[in-house]
Amino acid sequence: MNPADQIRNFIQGLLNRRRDKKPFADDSSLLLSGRLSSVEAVEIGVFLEEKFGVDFADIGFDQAKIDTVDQILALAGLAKTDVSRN
Amino acid sequence: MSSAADVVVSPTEAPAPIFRFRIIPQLDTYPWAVRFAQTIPGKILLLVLAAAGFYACRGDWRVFTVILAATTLLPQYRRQIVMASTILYTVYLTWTSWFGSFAGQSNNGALMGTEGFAFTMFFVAVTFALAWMLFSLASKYRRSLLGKRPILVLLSGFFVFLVIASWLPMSNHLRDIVFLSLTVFGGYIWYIGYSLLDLKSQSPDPFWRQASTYRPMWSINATPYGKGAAYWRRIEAADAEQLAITQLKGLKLLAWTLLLRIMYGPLQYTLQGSLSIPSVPELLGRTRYNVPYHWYTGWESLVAAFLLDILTMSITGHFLISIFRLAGFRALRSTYRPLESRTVAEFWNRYYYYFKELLAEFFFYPTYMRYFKRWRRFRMVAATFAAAFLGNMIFHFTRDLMFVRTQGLWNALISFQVYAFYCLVLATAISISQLRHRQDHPPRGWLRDQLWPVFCVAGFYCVLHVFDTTDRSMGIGVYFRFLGHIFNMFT
Repeated sequence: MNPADQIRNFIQGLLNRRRDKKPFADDSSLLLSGRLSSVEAVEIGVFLEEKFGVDFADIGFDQAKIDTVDQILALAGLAKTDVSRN
Repeated sequence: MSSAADVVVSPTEAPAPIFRFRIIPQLDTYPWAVRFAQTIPGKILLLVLAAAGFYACRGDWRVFTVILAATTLLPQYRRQIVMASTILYTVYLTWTSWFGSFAGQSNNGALMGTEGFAFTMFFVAVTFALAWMLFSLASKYRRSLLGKRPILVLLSGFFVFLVIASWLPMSNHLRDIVFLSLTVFGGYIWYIGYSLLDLKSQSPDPFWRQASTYRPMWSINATPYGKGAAYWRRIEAADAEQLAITQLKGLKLLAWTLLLRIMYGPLQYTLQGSLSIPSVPELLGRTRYNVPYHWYTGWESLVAAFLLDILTMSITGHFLISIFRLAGFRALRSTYRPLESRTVAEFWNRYYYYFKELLAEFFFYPTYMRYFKRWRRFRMVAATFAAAFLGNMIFHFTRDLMFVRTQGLWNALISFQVYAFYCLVLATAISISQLRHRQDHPPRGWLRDQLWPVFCVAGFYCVLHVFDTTDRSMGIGVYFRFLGHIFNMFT
């Protein structure tokens, strides 16, 4: 599984846990729309730390930076163009 | 089942429903309604309906109506109008707090009338100036302690000043003035905090935009409804169609507010009038002085207080967010079906969203992202305690500074024991809830997966409601005796 799909699967898992069956696109708002809460925001943060080495202690943690799959990909250093090559 | 997914502005291309009964029609999903709300007659009708709603809710309905008329008809100047309205509303609220019908309840000691008004306005101006200074310094020196840990510096500075003000000998009049300055600054402290956090964004707003988020007319207490400038940027309606949808959602929420207000009166009359259920403070008083009452009366009182409290939170939050939405911002509701929560953590998210967000952004995230990285489960517990215990206590202690003025710092800390215990239990329960929530399990049926968790969560918060008070007149022993009595453990 490529890194982008890992991220999408992880998000899907978080939504499933909240019984949220609505589909989401890469540019769908997840946190600011209220589909995921602060706790899930932290789980996304930890996932990025562990899998992609993102250090939020340096850049500061901000929900807005991980609100969509696209933003998460960018933060993980996997911009859309790179992802499509995988 | 997400907390507020369906209250977010949805795209207009969503298919219009054929017919589905709703108490309040989903106007924002009807293409014709969205189109009509973009026309001048549509805007006028929307404003007339909003004005009628404000009229039914508040005496100062004209203020909201005039300002929202300006933001609706001149959306290109929305931010400038909001800035002006924040200043005007601050002056108006200060005026009513010193000269209005409730002026005697301002808890500001011997300060009265013109003197109190003049000092308050002066301290508001000083607070804005200090906020500008902190914002500029944090922006310029990003590698300094203020730049890196702005909230730590802000809160530490405030508490140092509070300790000095409490311990320095001074006349009562001077003490009243000093504590008024602290109360005014304390009322803005979390708003200023959001501005300082916005500096971590790639392109933070300039200070005048930050200042317009400092207690705007839809955020009238210490909790920033709508958070700070960073959140405003993301939820602001970008075009005429988004504005129409957002305003229709605001109008719907205002209608909900009215409906809940209509329900509140008869419910309160039935519970406390017809059924003569005593209030919790009354029963605590009886407990304190050993006046007997039935254990089940305690339960009746507690459940009634819990339900009325949820209704009050909903009415207040819905009203404020409806104004925010009518001004063109797609804000989430503050309270969203709390009694549907299946976990303790979820209830907190649904009950008072903007307070939870405050604690998450100022306490939870920094702790989680900075400390105990090797201990995953403990990390979650530590961050939860930083927010629900420490942050919650700091918020309420800084909000109620009149106790420090009247009782002294040490006694004010001692008398805070009841709310401190509430925070301790809340933080413990949320920590357990979060750790348990991580363990997924296969479906076990509607009764066990839906009904039972909802019942348990509501029951937990109902019982915890005993301690959810910032009243300082009774020691925690009275509360424990009350709790023991309703469980029929002792009379």
